[in-house]
Amino acid sequence: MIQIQDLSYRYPGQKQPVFSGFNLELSENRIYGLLGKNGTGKSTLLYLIAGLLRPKAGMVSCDGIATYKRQADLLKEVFLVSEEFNLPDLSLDDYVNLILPFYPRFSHEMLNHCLEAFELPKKLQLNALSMGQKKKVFMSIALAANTRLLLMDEPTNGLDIPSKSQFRKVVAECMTDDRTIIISTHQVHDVEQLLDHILILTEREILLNASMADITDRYVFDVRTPGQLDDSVIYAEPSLQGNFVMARREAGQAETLVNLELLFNAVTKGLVK
Amino acid sequence: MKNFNINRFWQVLKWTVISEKKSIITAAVAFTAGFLAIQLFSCFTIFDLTRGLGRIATEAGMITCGVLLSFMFYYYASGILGNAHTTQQRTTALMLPASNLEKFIARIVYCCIFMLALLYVAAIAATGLRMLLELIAGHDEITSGISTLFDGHIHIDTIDVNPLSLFLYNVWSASLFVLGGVFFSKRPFIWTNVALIAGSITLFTLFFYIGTMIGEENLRSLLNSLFNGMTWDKFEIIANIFNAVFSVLNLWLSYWLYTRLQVVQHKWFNL
Repeated sequence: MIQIQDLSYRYPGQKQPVFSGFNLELSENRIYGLLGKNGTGKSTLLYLIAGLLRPKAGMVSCDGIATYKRQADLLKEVFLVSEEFNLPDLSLDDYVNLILPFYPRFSHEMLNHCLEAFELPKKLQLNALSMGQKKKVFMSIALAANTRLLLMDEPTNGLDIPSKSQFRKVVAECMTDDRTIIISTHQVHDVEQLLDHILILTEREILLNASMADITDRYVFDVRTPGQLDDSVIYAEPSLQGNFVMARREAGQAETLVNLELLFNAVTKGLVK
Repeated sequence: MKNFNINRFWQVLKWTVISEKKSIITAAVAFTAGFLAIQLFSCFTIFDLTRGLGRIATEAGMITCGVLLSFMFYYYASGILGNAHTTQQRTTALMLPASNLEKFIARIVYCCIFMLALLYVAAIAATGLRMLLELIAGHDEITSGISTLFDGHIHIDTIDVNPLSLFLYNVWSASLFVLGGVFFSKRPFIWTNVALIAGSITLFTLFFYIGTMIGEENLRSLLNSLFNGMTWDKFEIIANIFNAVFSVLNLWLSYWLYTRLQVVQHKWFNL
């Protein structure tokens, strides 16, 4: 669905490129988790995919169309939930009526479902909401717009604890076969049960591009005592409960849930290739 | 045309106007108050000081309103990216599922036509209020003077500038401010004016430099050959062609810059 070929990009007035000769291919019907340290270009990559930035060289295309051209037919299939966003001084109904003609597959049913899941009323005034509520409303609109590509930059920032689990539930329920979601985040624990593909980004390259199935197949994540730290252990972090461990999965060993924080640290320290 | 769909364009225009609802209401109230203040100052102070000058006072007030209206028209023309000032605003504007052409034309219509109409409505409303206050105050000679704002003719001595020439001149000058509005990231109205003044100084300097290079006599004969037998009508036709061609060029350049607009831009220029 999305192809990035030999992408080079640097911000205006900066000498250091954010990307240089960067390649990536993203398929349909997946929820990608885009992880990386600060300043590695996660938001920049989302902006490039959305067509909000123009590559210096190379190409970012969605279904073969260069995204920087911002063609209307492509834009109606892309929704970006950026970390900070603007909502006009309107009621939700008026706002939905305003954007409805631009998103032909907009679903009122899905909007109501999302608002209900986020415990928000259906009749509300957008400028009277708190930042967290605005984010929940905007995410509900983004999901209801039913675009094939949904880009989310730090979606759980500013959400309270119950809202984070509501967010996971809502996204999982709104996932359809023809949809691709890319979530860029630092809050790995908020989304680790939601993702089915992990991309770990470092300066100028992808360090890890693997499906969750692949990761759970190859590695286990558990808590071990110092005596249990054998050769299979790739990375360990001491804690009060013992050592949080990422280890190679032995034959016959049960699958475990992925601990994205351990995986991220192991990958960025160069312990996982 | 794939790049332009009339139904979608209307939706973009509706979206542009509704999302600016708050600033439109603020502008309407502020301009009505501003025009009213100018007219009241002119009519009440001059009228009271020198009785019998009511018509002149009204005229003076309306001319001042006209100057303010023109000033604000160019100010709004340079605000073509007024809805894409911050990163959030840019993201919202650029991600709207419509073509660049539809969004650009919608902004032109909003900034240059809608806001001009709003300025006229504010001026008319202020005039109505001023006439009402004059009536209450018991002034003898109450006139609207509103025709001053709609006069499409300029008479200078024996020269009569026709409305088409005036219209094309206004389109050309507005297109310069539109271009400045797309080009400059910060305070586009101020920087466009600075660029126009700098451009004029450069042109004059160049003209004088050429004059000294080729000699005064040669310059005089060159100007004579260019303008000899030139009537006002001929000059007007040439000026109209110049204004029309350069308006199209300025708007095309503005659109080209608009298509290259990014969410993160250079600090000073939208390049």
